[in-house]
Order: sequence, then C-alpha cells, then structure tokens
Amino acid sequence: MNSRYDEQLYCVAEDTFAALAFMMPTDEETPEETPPHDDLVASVAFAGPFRGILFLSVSTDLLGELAANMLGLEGPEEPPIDKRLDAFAEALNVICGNLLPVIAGTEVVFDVHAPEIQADSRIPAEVEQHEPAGAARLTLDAGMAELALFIDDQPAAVTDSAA
Amino acid sequence: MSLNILVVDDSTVVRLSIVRALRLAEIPVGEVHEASNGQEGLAVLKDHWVDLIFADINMPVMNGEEMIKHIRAEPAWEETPIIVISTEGSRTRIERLEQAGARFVHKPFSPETIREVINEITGICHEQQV
Repeated sequence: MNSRYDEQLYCVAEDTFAALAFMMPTDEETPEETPPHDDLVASVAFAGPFRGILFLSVSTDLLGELAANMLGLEGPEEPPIDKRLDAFAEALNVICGNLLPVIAGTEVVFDVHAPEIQADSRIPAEVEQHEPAGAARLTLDAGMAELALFIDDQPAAVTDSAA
Repeated sequence: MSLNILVVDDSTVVRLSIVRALRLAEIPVGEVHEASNGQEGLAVLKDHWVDLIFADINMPVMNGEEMIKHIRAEPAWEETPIIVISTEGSRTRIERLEQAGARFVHKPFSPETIREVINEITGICHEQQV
C-alpha cells in the first residue's frame, strides 16, 4: 500500500478532533483486523493540481459526542440528527482543508466541494478498488474514526485559479 | 455598544459555533442574523444594519468571495468589516480575500482568536474595559 500520507492524515485528523470537539485519541491498540466501524461514512472531493476524495467513517456514538462538543452542549440530551450530520460533515471539511496544504503546499489552490454523506454508509466500490494514498484510524473515547484518502494524479481545473 | 452580526455559512453547526465563540469571547453582541450562502447574506444586508460579517468561502448558490465582491461594490456596505472563517490553505486565495478588505481566520478557531481579530478591527474589547 502506498502510505505516503498516513502520518499527515493522522496528525491533521488528531488536531482537528482536538480543536473542534476536545476529543483526543486514546493509546488503545487498534489491530489491523478490527472491523471498520463504518456506521456512517462521509466524503469530500477536491480538485486542484491533482484531484481526489477523502472519506471519513465514524461510529454513531462518536457522531453524537462530536456534535455535542462542537455545539458546547452539556448534559445527556443528544443533538438532533441534522446537527449530528452537519457536525460530521464539518469535521471532514476541516480535516480536508487542513490536509491539502500539508501535502501540496500553500501556493496552490484547491476547490474543496461540499461534504456528502454516503447513503449506504460505505466507500463506493469503484473507489475502494484503488489503493488509498493515505489512511488513518483514530481511537477516541466515544468511538473510532477512520480516514481514507484517494488521489487521482490527473491535474484538474480549479474554477478560479486564473482569477 | 453591541455589534449586530451576520454569519454566512452553509453549516448550521458552524454558524452556531461562531455565535457561541462570540459569547465565550465576551464580545457584546446585539442582533444575530444568519444566512446559509452569499445570496441569502446579501438579502439580509438589504434589510438589516450589520456591524460585522462572518463568512465562509465554499458555499452553494453564491460563495464567500463572490458575496464579498458584491458587498464591496455597494457604497452602503463597502466599509463593513468582514471576517472570513475557513479551512482555506492557499496563500493565493487568502491574499485575494485580504486585498478585498476581509480578515482571515483559519478553522478550527478559538474564541480568543475571534476576540483578538474583532478587537483589532473594532476596538470594542478595549471600549468595554474603559
């Protein structure tokens, strides 16, 4: 597997969960054979000097805590599902936005598309058949978060790169 | 004095997080208006006096850069402070926003950062202490 960006992906995701929602990874071992906790999957596509797509899978338990922490909610009441999905999408958006300059530098311009929740909670088969350019798994108190980055090396037009 | 603010972002959670950060930063906030894209943001500005605008860049219908161009082209709003809160990492795009008179705050942000930027723009935190 091409693991060029595993470490960068892990570090950016770790920083994002900590800063957005005060969620830190535990030291708990996450063996390779652990089945993915893909209770919910979201994706965000990007295009610039190269294009690609980043997937984030989280457990539903993690989803509730992520939204509650981002909104500063206290107590047992869980945020409604629309807020949970919105928080999930925003976490992925922030991870992607912070990852791109780490792997491509700050001089280039990327268009980052709106995150999408995958209806069937899976990475599409046509994407998954390719080797990811990076992968990371974070074990947080509330559950597991997994990331997979797929890159297409073909350059893509950026809508305002000439502006 | 309190600030009437407009928060333009397609994420409800982000809009709520910004308003929450303002309260945690003890910024005196008056009316809070929200919009989920640039076009809605411009519509709010037509109907309400706003002292400070928070805007995202990537939004559907009308993105933040386009909204800022419209705002700066309108004499009534050309001096209104704009703070762009985004994950944008491209210096090229950030410099273009700054040339349009917007301040840039990188996501994720802290209430302290928001307070610092608002104070630099408006001096309102200093006013509170006097």
